[in-house]
This record gives sequence, structure tokens and C-alpha cells, in this order.
Amino acid sequence: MTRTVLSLGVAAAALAIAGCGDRDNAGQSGGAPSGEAKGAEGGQTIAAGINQQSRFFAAAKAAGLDATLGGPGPYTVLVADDAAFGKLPAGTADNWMKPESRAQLTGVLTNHILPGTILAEDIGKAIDNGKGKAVLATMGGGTLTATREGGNIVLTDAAGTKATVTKADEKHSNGVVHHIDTLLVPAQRAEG
Amino acid sequence: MTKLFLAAGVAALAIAAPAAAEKGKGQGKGNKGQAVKVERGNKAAAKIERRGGGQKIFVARGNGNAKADRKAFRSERQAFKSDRKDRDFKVADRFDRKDIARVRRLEDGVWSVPGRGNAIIGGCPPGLMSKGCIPPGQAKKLEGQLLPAAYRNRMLPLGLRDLFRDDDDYMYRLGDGGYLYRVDRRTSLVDSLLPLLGAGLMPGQVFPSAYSNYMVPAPYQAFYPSTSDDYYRFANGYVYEVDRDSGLIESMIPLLAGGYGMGQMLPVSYSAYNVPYQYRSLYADNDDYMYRYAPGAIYQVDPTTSLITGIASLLTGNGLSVGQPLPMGYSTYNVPLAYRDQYYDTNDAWYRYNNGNIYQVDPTTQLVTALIRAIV
Repeated sequence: MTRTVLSLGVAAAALAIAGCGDRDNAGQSGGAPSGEAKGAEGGQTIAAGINQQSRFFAAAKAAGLDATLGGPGPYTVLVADDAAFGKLPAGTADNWMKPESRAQLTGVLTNHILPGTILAEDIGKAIDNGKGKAVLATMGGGTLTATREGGNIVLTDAAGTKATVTKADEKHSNGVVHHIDTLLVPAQRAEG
Repeated sequence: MTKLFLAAGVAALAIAAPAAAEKGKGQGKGNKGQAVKVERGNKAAAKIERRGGGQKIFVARGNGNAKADRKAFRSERQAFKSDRKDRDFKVADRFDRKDIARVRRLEDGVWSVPGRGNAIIGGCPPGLMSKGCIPPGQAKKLEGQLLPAAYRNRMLPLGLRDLFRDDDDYMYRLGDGGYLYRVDRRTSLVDSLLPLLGAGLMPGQVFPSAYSNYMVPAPYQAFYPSTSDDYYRFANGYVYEVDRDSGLIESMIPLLAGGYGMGQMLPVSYSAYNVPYQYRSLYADNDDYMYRYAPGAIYQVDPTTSLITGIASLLTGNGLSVGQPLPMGYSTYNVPLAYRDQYYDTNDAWYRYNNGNIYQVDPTTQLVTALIRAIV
């Protein structure tokens, strides 16, 4: 199976190279040199790169996801900054940190992790293709809607909460981090 | 071993069927056809009994000879099989692999396990009883009680100690029956029981009617299609497989999005290594860890306690598959940086990353056309 996949990969690569001369750079991400793709990922994993004193990291640790974000991934993580936690109703964040609330906490955190590596320009392109909005699948099984407001990318969650991307494209060895200013809550499920 | 079961059985009957008159070891008698009389020494290998509500239960009886019982049991079962109410409830006993037992519920919380001399096991799937499984009703009674001395040193597996950290007010010790005990340090009283397994709902128990409308979240439904024998519901962070006829939970799968993966006990139905192929070289079972896949994640499991101690990798619930439409939420290019100069979107082909693989997508039809590269 691996051999077939690899030979497909080689074939695809060969096609890509062969076609290179005929195509203009429209296919390349943003027209940037390919050096950006390879060497520019940070040497660290996302787990090592997140501010270890931040509330987001503390939450990830409480949910057992800190090790996950040190794994191969790749993941796109929307890191909500400390100020975002301050916007929550009083006591919510503290509640989440209790062992009994692990279900809820994990649901919230996996709502901030997307599969693969998605850069800001990728979201931008998808928004353009989607005539103003793009839907992003999260690891938690839900979706976020991305739109543009002013010059910024805005992500809206299932409840309608909006988060603005404040700092994008922090590259790491196993993915990329975007900082956002509000926490995005997943859709509520019926709970026992 | 049998003695233990029988003793437990007596205890279980006492708890589970207080209205039933107890006739001594191994027997139970109920009223109004609720319980089933199981006798030892009955030559008939099996019998089909009717219960109220038209429910047919296949009861195996034995005469103490396990092997002969099984043989006779099987031939009776053949005859019974044409009636599809007979549900092949395989409880893979991961602690004793020989015992893949055909289990029948006699009444709430009371079981019969053919081939074990008709031992009645109270409220616990076979095999877990020997590991100290306590029916939830009994476990709850420990709340407010003094922590038994034997449990003082039952530390949690290393991977969980970070999650349940002893502090000045409380300590956490590994309890029985899929529970963690939180103990007040000053009084040594068990302050609360934290369920390690789906809020105490385990295979073999009746699925609560209160949850009957809790459907599986949309992204996971493709994994759990209802059949004529089973249907699936979601609660407490688990997907429960429920047998249509008996209403019993047959299996439970932790959904990471529900958050009960970490710190939970791996369900018995996960005894086999099942990691997706693209991840097997990365996550192979070894002496320190086992790895098991459930939609949402590859879990790292402590082999001695079966507790999930880590999430090795997050996976999306609905993956991409060749020939299927690109699922919602994948309109954005997400190929890892190292592969972008090889696989980039054009009008003829898109590339999307999912669960260790890069897929090619036809932009016009939005169908996933090929698995191009495994990159894990």
C-alpha cells in the first residue's frame, strides 16, 4: 500500500515538475519562493512554542492535549490569548480546569484545533472562492466560519461568537498557530 | 474463581433483586416472570423462555460440565438462530482471552455466563468482576465513607497524576469499578467518585431511557450506522451501542470531543490493536504503552490498568475517503508546509491534508479522487 502511495506521490511530483514550465506562478502559494515552504517552519513543536505561562497552555495541559500538540500533527491551532479568557463569564474558565469538566474543556480546545496547516492566506483564498465566507472543520467535529472584516480574518463559532485573528502564521515544526482574541465555543450537545 | 462468582452472585442478587426470594447459591427466583430460574444439574442444555412483553431470552443451562455445556449450547443456538432476536453479544474479555462468552441478561444487573457453570455475576461484564468491578450502585455507597486502608497507596498511573493532582485538600486514589476516589485529606473520607468510564455506564447495563434522544453528533454518524440489531446514542462523551431487543449497552466508544478520552478506562471492546495503517509505524504497542484508535484520536493506554493516559494524535472524525465528496469544512488549502511546493491547488486539482494523508480533489466535482501521499 505504501509503495503504491509513494509511487503515486512520485508520479504526482513528476507531473508537477513537468508542468512547471507551462504554468505561471498562480499555483504557488502567494508567489513566494519555495524556500518559504521548506525551511521556514520553526524548529519547535506547537506545544513548545506556546507561551507556557499562558492560560491556553494551562488549559491544554489540563485536557492532556499539550503532549498531542508536541506530536507529529500537523495542526493549525487558534491560540486564544489570556485576554480572551477574561472575556468569559466569571468562573467559567476556572470551572473548566476541574477534572470533572474535562469533557467540556476538551470540547472547547478541540474547537480551536484544525487539521493540517492552514495559513492566513489559505483562509483568505477560501473566503474569496466562497464569495465572502469559508467553513473550516475543527478537530472537535464542529465547524467555524471565516470571513473578512476590515483587513482581518474573523472566525465565528456555532453560537455566533466572533474572534479576530490578531497575529497569524506563527510557524512550527508540526503546524501553525494563529492568535485570536476570543474563545470559540462548540455547539452545545445534549448532556446527561 | 467459580466460588468468587457465586459469592458475588449471591451479593448481586441481594442488591439487584430484593424482591426475589433467594434459594441459595446459584439460583434466583423472581416474580411475574421477571427473573429466570437457573438450576444446576439440569440436563437440558438450553431453553427458550418467554418473558413479559414478548421478549424472548435464550437461557443456557448447564450441568457443571463446561465443555459439554458449550457444545450443547451451540447446537441449541443453531436452532434458535433463525429467530434474529438471539443477539450475539460478544463480550471480549480482554483479561482472559479464552473467555469470549455468550452472555445473557436474566434481569437487571444479573447475568448468566454459559460455560462458567452458570455463575451469576452481578452487574458487571464477565472478566471485569475479577478485576474488582463494582456495579455503579454499589460504588456510590462509598461516598462519604472512610477510605479503606488498602486504597491509601493505590496511586494513579503516572500519566493521570498530572490530571488528578494531589493537593493540600484532596488526594486521588485509584478505586474500583471504573472509579477514581477523591479523598479529603483531613478526614480521609471519600469525598466523591469520579467515574473513569462514561459516568459509570458500562456494557451490560440498560441504556437509560433518558438518553434515548441523544443522537450521535453529525460528523460521527457515518461511523455508527444503525442496524436492525443495534442503534447508537451519544452521552457523557461516549457513543453507546445499544441492542435493540434487550436495551443493553453493548459497547461504548469515547469521543474525544466529549472529552472523556483522557483519564478514562479503555472499553473492553478495544482490546485489539486498531491504529489506522498510516500511523502504525509511529504508534506501535510496546511494554510501556498501548495505542488504540477511536474516532477523534489515537489514544495512549497504560497496559496494566487500561486507563487512557494520553492523546497521541488528534484525528478528524470524518476523514476524507477516495471517491467521496470533500466534506464540509475542507474548502481551505491545508497541506503541511514541507509539502506545499509539491502539492498546491490549481484549477485542475486541489490537495487536502487529513489524518496523515494528502488527498487529491477534483475542484469541479468536489470529489476526493486519490490518496496521493502518506506523510506520517
